[in-house]
Formats: sequence, structure tokens, C-alpha cells
Amino acid sequence: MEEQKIKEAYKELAKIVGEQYVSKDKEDLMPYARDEVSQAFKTYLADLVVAPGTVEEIQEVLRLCNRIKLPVYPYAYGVSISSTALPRVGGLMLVLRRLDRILEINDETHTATIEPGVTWSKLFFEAKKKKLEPLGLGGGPHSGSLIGNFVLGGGNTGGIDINEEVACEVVLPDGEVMWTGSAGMKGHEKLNPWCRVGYGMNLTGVFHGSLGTYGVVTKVLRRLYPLRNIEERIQIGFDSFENCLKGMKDLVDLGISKQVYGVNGVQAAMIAADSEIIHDPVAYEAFEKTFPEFLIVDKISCYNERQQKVYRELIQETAGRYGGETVSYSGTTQDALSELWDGSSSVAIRYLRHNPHLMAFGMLPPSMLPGLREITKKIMNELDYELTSFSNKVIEHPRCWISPWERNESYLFEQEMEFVPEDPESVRKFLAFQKRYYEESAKYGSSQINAGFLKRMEPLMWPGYMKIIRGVKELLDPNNIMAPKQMLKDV
Amino acid sequence: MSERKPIKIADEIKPFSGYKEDIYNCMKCGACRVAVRQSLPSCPAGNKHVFDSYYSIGRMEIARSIMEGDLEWNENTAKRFFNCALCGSCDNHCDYVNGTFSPMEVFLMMRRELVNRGLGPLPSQRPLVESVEQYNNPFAKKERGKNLPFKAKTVDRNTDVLFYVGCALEFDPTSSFITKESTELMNKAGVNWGILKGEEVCCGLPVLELGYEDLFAKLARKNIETINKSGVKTIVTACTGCMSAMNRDWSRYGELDAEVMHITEFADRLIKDGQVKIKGSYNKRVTIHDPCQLGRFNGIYEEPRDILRAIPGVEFREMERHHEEAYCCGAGGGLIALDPEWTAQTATERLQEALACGAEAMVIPSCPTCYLNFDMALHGYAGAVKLYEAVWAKVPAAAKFMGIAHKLSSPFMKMRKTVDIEVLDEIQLLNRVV
Repeated sequence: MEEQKIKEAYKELAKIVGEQYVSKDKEDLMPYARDEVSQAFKTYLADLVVAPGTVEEIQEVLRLCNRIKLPVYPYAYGVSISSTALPRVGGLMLVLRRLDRILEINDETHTATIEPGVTWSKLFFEAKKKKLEPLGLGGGPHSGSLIGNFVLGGGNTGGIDINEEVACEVVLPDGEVMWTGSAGMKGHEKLNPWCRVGYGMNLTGVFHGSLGTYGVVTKVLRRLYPLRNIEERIQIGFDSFENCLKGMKDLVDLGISKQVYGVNGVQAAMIAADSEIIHDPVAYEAFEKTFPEFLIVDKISCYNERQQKVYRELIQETAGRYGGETVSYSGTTQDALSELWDGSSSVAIRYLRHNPHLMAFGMLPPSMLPGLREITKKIMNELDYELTSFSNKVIEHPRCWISPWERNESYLFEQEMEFVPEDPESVRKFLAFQKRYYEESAKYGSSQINAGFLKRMEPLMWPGYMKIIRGVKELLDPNNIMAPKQMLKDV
Repeated sequence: MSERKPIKIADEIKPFSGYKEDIYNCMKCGACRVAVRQSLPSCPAGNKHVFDSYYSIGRMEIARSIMEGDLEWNENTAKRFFNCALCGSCDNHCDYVNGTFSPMEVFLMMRRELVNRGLGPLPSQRPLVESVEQYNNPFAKKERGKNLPFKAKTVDRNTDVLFYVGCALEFDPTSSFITKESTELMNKAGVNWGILKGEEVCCGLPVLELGYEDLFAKLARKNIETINKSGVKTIVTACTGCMSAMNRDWSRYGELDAEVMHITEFADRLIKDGQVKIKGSYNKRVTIHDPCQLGRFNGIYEEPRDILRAIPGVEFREMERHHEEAYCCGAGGGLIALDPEWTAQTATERLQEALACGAEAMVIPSCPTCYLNFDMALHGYAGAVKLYEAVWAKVPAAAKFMGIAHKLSSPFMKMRKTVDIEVLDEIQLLNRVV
């Protein structure tokens, strides 16, 4: 962008937010130029970064951007590990971290009204004081933003986030503020924002996964769940992927669980290992072997011991049909696993700890997941793409997460495809894998949650589908200032 | 936007040799920004400056960009790396999450290189270094051991304990009372102790943190030589920074033939051994601030708490962020010399956290830097600091740092108290009840 335009924009932005909260120094821009995955591809350098402190300031910023045609890339708290908050054509990084209030935790409706700077750890901590919790899924970074996850489209690692948002407030690209759901009627954002589907349509869903291309989500009403007298996490080990999936399906069918999800053994080991053992390959290999092939958790929430006893028996009987056995560990290993199953936790983020990686996703019914796993293995073999763990031994399958999308119609399956950023050969294989994986997984039937995939998937989509996606963009953002090229190739 | 270039970084490229893996291992998870299990922030610098470039996640990216040739060394780099309390919170989070590297080591490397290139430290931090270069202490004092608020003998081979006074505790009028309290406690316990008097020089931590490794090495060697010559086998200090330098950093430049203890460790031992008897009580709700150098860097958390547990009447409360997660008071890493207004604001946030846990008093396990900073915060000095800037501008450079403490401890300012909580040094509290 021309130097003069940047200078003028800087002056205007400083008037809106104060000089302290705007910068054009390259040192302040570089940290937003790449994320964990994008370091294998390109760097994208913004021209300016701004951190407004109020919704009104965001409105002013967007009006300015519209006036001077300045691309703007919203960034919630600032954890992007899937290349979806990168300033792809330069312009302005809009950092929303200063809006970090939990405006309300409502005892009656079991909802929290939060701003973009509210992290998972913050909401968990504050909700717990009222005996409530958000339903997060293991693997979500405690340092990530709930609204960031909402706009990304997946939520926590896992996918059940889709139904967790009741309503949201959005600053549209022209600076106008609107609410969705029942708060879609003016004034009802205060009177009654708690009905998710207001006036026929689910407009909250329009902004879910929109990657900031339709506006800036500034508030979300998110569901919370009661913490009952007994909250138990029952760990069950399985000896194969197939048995794990069959067991998981039946456990979901039981309908008594707060959440069911799981990881393979290599993933569990990497998350549970403490900081010492990961530096000792021999000890780590032995540690890794203490985990079953697959480890899942069934979270139950009970009023009393009688209920807990019945639930336990039902779960053990159901998992037992497929060889599933309850397992427990001791010391720091169990501490780490307990924290992992707690939803969004600090140990969960340890799944990032070995090497940078791409989350190779698949969204399929449980019976189709083994097929997807074999496709992954086939591509890896053909590319001679090897993955290791801290034992330095090659692992047969990538580390993975499995989580039912609320019910059994679709499971999220995430495989961690690692690469070494400073090794060009490793990066080459990683890029080749990525291209093949998304082509072949789509042919197999897998879908993707991240709207960023539309860039490459558009030719395969129904024309009407894309007409809506593009139509909304054109309607709301005729000057195409909001996150250009984040979702689509051209706008 | 630019296409990704093949990365060609030779291992021998200085100053990144040995740090390459650390820099590439930043997963950009952002754990450095947030307290792990709490709702409050963890990084004073990021909390103030907001942009990622002031958090570990961004500083690692700046280091990487310089290493790969996408950024240059300049004054902006210096601003990002010297505006940091070096509190170790990001290190702690990174270790917990990744367990593979230390951002702090990268920051210190960057600071050293900025000094080598004449870009660091920042102007208001330089007088501190000049003073250490000239006087062997950061307070521009020519003589040591002359006006101490206690009587002491010079340590010799018959002395059991060397009380290492430390520069701040000798020269900073706000916190020097801690030495009096410490020596009083040792006298009550019948400890045979002495000091180095004029032989003591700065422990070196302030200059080490500002990137002056050679100057630090000189001071460490001098101290090690003097102490070893004295023949003493136990060193006690009431300064967390001195203790930390002795325990963690001096070993690079020599071997100390003595055990090093912080005064709260020593006091706890005296209580447990029965050498100190607690007779009185302190009937208040009390919380504790974990100084970074004591807690995160040396793992001393329980001894100061055990002292409080031993005092009848104390109703102990933990703040939301405690132990490894404790929020820094904001004064470390040379920040108190750089921006005392900001450091006092950070300390004010910490005091508010103490109030929020219901405490009536907050105890600091002896740390002169924390104490000075909390005292500034407690009495609303932060807002007044700017008033003194014009005065400092006319003061000879080496006296500037000393000026902060003197000016801010004026009786007039002491009349004001902005946060309704009592702040106590832990040994000061202990002396009230023994």
C-alpha cells in the first residue's frame, strides 16, 4: 500500500483509538504475518495494526476503512493456528483483545455474554464461580478466544461449537451494529436475547465460520452447562480404531453423557507427558506404551451417587461390548489427563508441542472414519512422509482427536500432520500431502468446517450455495474491505 | 505479502547460534499471554502495550524475522525487548505447555546483542549501568557499609552466616529497613553473622538483565573471590535478586563454597529449629505476593507460606494468581528505571487482586524491588512520577536512578494511600510476633 495512504490512515486511526493503540512499525506487524501453519507457505504483512477498546471505536474504524478502502482483518484474542486470521492483501489488523469483558453470566438462562478478548480459561474460571461451565472440547487452547473460535467456524478442537452460540452482536462492514437471534429486534438485546432462532432464520449461523468476512463479531451469548454435585470423567481404553468408534457411537446413543470424545494413544502420551520426560526418548517410549491404542473420556454429570452408579454401570457395559476397559493413571499423568478432559485446558494445548502441524480434518459418520485414516496412511506412504513422537520412533498413524458432533450423524476427526519449518524437504512433503489429502478426502466424502477451504473447494460446490455465500458478502461489504481473500480466492 | 523463502540460517550465525531451535519452536499458541488456570492476564508488558510484539509470542517472531533477514536491528527492536519485566511468566507457561525451550533465554540474548550494537538499553536504563560500571552499585554511591541501620561485624572464618546486604537494601531509603528487620531477627535467634562491608559489590543481576554479560561476569567473580576468601559457609540475603544471581548465574564464572539462602528460607528454618519462638499473633486476613526471582526462578514458595502458617491469628488467603502463576509487580528487568509510572500501575493491579481475595494485608517475602514498587503503588506515587521527570533531567546521569527512590519517599507523598491494604515485608511481620 502507498506510504502516503498508510500515513493518513495512521493519523485517522490514532484519532479514533489513541496513538498508543495504533502502529505501523514493522516490529508490531510482523507477529501477525504468519501463524503455526502458514509458516510453511507465505508471510502476509499488514500495513497497520489497531487495537480499539470499544464497539464504538470499532464502528469508527470500519467506517474509516470503508471510506479509504482499507482492507481490515479482525483478530480476536490472538491465537491463530489454522491460517484464518492472516492479512492476505495487507491493510489493517484489527486486534480485539482489549474488549475482554464477561458482561454477564446468567444463572437462569445458563448463558454468558462475552467479548472477543475473553479467553477459554477466563470463561471457565468465572463460570465455575456460578457452578456453570461452557461445553468446550478437549484440545481447545486455554489462551484462545471463544469468539475467535466461533468466527473460525469450528470452536474448540472438535466441533460441537455450532450450537453453543445463542446470539451475537456484529459490527457490519459499514459500521452499523446488529444483533442476531431474538435480539434481532431492537432493544431485545437487553430484554430477551436468549432465543437462538429468532424470526425464522438462524442469522447467528451466518457469522459462524465467516472468518471475519461479513463483519466484526463483538459479543456472543454462549451457552453454559450446570456443574452438578458429581462431575466424573470416565476414561476408557480401546485396542483398535474400529472398536473405539463402535464404542463411542453406542455411548453417544446411550444419551447420558455430557460429552464423549477421545484421542489415540500417541496423542494422549504427548499431552500427558511432563516437561522432563519429553527430553528422554527412551523413557518417553516406555511412557508411550502405557497408553491404549485409543483413549476416550465419557463425561457424566450427576445429582447423586445413585445416579452416578447407574451411569457408570451402563457406560462400562456399553464400552465393554467392544473390549473397552476403564483405565486410570496416577500422578502427573492422571492430573494432565483430568485437565485435558476438563474441556479447554492448558495441557490440551500440548498437542502443539512436538512440531508445527496442520490439522488434517475430516467430518464423517463414525463408520467412514477408518477409511479416511487409511487414505491418510496411503498418501503418507507414497510421499515417504514420516511422523515421529518424542521417542524419535516413526509412528504408524498421525496423532488424532475424535469427537462426535453432538450426535452420531458426523464425527470430527483431526489428524496432526507435522512439519519442520527450518527443513525445506519436510515442508515440501507437508505441502504435497496437504494438496493430496484434501482432494482425496473430499472424493471420499469428507467435509470441512473451516470456510477457508472454500478457496479451493468452490468449483466443487453447488452454484446456489456459493451464490448465497457471495451474495451475502456483496450485500454487506460492497467495498470488499472485510478480510479479503480469507474465505474466497478473489474477494 | 511475500512468498516463503527457503530458510538458510547457518548455525554459526551470531547471535542466534544456539537459539535457532528455541525460536522455531514457538508454536504461536499464545500460552505466554494468559494465566494457565485463571481469568487474569500474565504478562505485564503485553497487558500494557497490547500488541503481540510485547508478548513472548511476538518477540519470538521478531527474533525469527531478524534471523531470517525480514527485519533489521534497530531502536524499535530495543523498545520491544527492553520493555519487559523478565518476570519469567512466559517461560513458565511455555515450559508447562511445550517443555522444550525458554523464551527468556532468547530475550536475554537479544538484549545482549542490542547492547553490542549500541541500541540498548533504553536511555533511562543507561544511568543504572553507568553507575554500576563506575561505583559497583546502581545507586552511584562511592562507599559501602558506612551508614547501615544496624550494627555488624565484618565476616571472618569464625562467622557462621554472611549477611549479603545488597545494593538496594543498603541505599534505597524505602526498602533499607528490611536489612534492619533481617538482622534484628538473626540477633534474636542468636545467629553468628557478619557482613562484607566495603568489600561487597553489586551481585550483577541488574546489569545482567540489561544485557551486560561482561560487567556481570566481573562482579560475579569479584563477589565469589571475596566470599570464598572469607571462609563463610552460609550466605543469607534479604534481596531476591541477589539470591537468584548467586544461585543461578554466578556459577558461570566461578564456584561459590557456600550455601545461599533467602532470608525467608532462613527464617523458616530458624522457626522450625526452635531458634525463633513466636509469641504474639497477627489477627488479619493475609495474602502473599510471590516475587518472581524467589518463586518462578528459584522455586521458593512454601517457606514464606510456612512462616505465615506459623503465626497465630493469620487467616491466610491466596490471590487468584499465585505460585508459578503469580503476577509480576512489574518492576523487574530494568523496568523500574525505565518507566516507574507503569511499574507502579502494574503493582496497583496486583494490590487490587490482593483486595479481591479478601486480604487486609499483603506480605512480601523480602524483595526490595517489589517493596519499592508496591510502596509507590500504595501511596499513589505513579501519578506523581511524571512531575519529577523535569527534575531528573537536570540531575547528573548516574544519580537519576537513585533519585526515583529518594524523591518518591518524600513524607508528603507518604500521607496518601490509594489502595486500602497494608503492605508488609515478611520479616517485618515476623519481628512483630517474636
